[in-house]
Amino acid sequence: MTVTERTGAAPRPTGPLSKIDYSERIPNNVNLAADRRLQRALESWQPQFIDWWKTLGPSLPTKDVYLRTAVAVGRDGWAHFEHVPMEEYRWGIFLAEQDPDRTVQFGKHKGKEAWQEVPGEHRADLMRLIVVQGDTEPASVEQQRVLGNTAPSIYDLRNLFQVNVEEGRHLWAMVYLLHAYFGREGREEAEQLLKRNSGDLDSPRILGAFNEETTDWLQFFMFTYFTDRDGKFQLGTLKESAFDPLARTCEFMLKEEAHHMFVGTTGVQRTVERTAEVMKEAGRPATFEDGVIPLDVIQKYLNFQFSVSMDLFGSEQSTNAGNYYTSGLKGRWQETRRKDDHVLLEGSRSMNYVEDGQIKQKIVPMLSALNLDLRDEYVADCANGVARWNQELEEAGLNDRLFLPHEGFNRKVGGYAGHFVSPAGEVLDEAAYDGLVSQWLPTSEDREAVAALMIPEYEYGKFARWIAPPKSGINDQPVEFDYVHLAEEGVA
Amino acid sequence: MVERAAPQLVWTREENPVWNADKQRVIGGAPEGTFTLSFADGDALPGDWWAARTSDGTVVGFGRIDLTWGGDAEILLAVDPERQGEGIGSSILQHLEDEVVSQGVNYVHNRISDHPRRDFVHDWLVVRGFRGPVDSDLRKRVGSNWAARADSKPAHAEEPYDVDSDPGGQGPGREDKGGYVNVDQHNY
Repeated sequence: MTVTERTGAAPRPTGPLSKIDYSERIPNNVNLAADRRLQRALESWQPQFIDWWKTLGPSLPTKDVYLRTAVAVGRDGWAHFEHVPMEEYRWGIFLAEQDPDRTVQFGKHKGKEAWQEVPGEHRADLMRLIVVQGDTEPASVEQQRVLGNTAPSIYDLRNLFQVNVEEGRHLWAMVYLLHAYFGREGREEAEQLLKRNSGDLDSPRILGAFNEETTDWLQFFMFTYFTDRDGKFQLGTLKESAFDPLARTCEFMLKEEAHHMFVGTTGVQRTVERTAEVMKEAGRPATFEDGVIPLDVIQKYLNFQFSVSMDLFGSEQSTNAGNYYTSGLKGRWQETRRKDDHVLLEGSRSMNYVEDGQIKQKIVPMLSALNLDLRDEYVADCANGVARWNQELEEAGLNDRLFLPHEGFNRKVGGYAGHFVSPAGEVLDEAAYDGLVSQWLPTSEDREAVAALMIPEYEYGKFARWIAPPKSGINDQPVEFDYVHLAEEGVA
Repeated sequence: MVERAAPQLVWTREENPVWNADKQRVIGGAPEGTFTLSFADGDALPGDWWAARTSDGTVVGFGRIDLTWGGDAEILLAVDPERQGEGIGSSILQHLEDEVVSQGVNYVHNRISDHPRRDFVHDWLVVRGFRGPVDSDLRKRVGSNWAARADSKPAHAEEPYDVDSDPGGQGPGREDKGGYVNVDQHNY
């Protein structure tokens, strides 16, 4: 059997293509060879990245994995699938096609040419935006390091590794921008992106949420559904940036990000499907003794991951978010589809806040509430997946439903911080909340019980009992395809 | 300048922050270029705000956190121009850092490039753990007071075994009575 027969044809490209140069040590479509100084700088960073990957990347030993690698950056068909040893994955620098006529779509520079260089006045802000984005990318790889040891199937293991290598590539994307446009300071920040590590006491990742190990696969699926989606929305705003290299970088990252959310959506869906099957058969709520994850525990995991992901957006109102917009550094989600003046100096919107034990509304300037604007778009998108999961319950003839908790539930950031809001949106006092919170968030007992189900299943085509098989495989391959070849020490 | 010991301050979150006379006095009293906050009386303020008051209720300072996506946390602190050099700024900074940590963020940043006394403020921040050039972001790891924590008693530390209250007991260090060995509490 030839590689092509076995791995399937690459998707047919139909859009404009900017070929990626794989003859270079660092694959790229930015003509890196023409800038020897930059090329040398990145080549000196490359071994540090590989060291980081070997030290803090996936811990399960593998021979090779059926991975998607970008081969072009056109509108459609851009990837190639093959078995590759993970440490030989071709991490590279890929920017979406350049539009020579691109103009700034919003803020005070609206209508002017997009920037190909960093304006001095925005240098510090732009670099910080890139560093913050870059910090999240490798963090999740570090958090998910040991997850392969409990994979529910080879299919899922492959998806985990695909997410991991692409998060690594997204780090490359940010490091390229730092090296290419921010001089010595940028190079130092690029070094720091590898020196900060998830869980490191002295030098942790920026966000506390990215410093905790992902201990089980339901948490992983919830992470890729809710937290990677969070990243998708941030990338969507940076894709609008007046700084064209950043915009093009993020546009291509979004393409890869879609698979990560697919992993989350279908992962939770398959978990719910299996639980629903058991509930239907037994005619009662499923328990851990049934070998599946009870629906109320799935809801608790959902409540947790949704609420911590909401915190990622920052405070509802922010001067800096408004300044980023006015300066052209960061737009809104689907900026060009918005039907307003794209300057926002006059606009306003309503915002919830807590006062006297009640959730009230006030009108605030639109420009100051752009974190909230983005968060609202995110919540609407999150609801789609929940509807899909509920479809499984409906098809099983069950009346139970999953739901997104209220935006104020379990919040540490913004206007709801310090208040005690139930998932239904009721403002409680602290004692009442504390008495009920174990019904809403996973307890350590819940997490231990979920972890106890996480027994690895490495036989091709077989799946752990707590999760249903997918309807189809990756890249038209069968579900039982040999997506991952474990190293002998990984099998033992 | 030598700072005196910080007065006891009452730290209060402003649920619905607006520009008011106290802010005009404390923040508006700073030299031009220190802050770029051009608000009118009663204007709602973005970001999370706290007021620092003395025991008689007088506002002597403000702290603000402006948090954007991914834990990008900028802090602002202002001290009543009449009360500077009393340690109030250090106290506000500590409170702000605690607030940032409680929001799950591990770093804060500040920018002072337009501050009329930026070299002085740069030194002030560097002494308090910030790092970075005067004309760009100054950043600090917060919530990492590991040295101080190592000196303090850990939460799970055992209470010393009170031999006198348990004369026939088998507590730690009472090998002679069949007790288990605890090196630190060993009784000879």
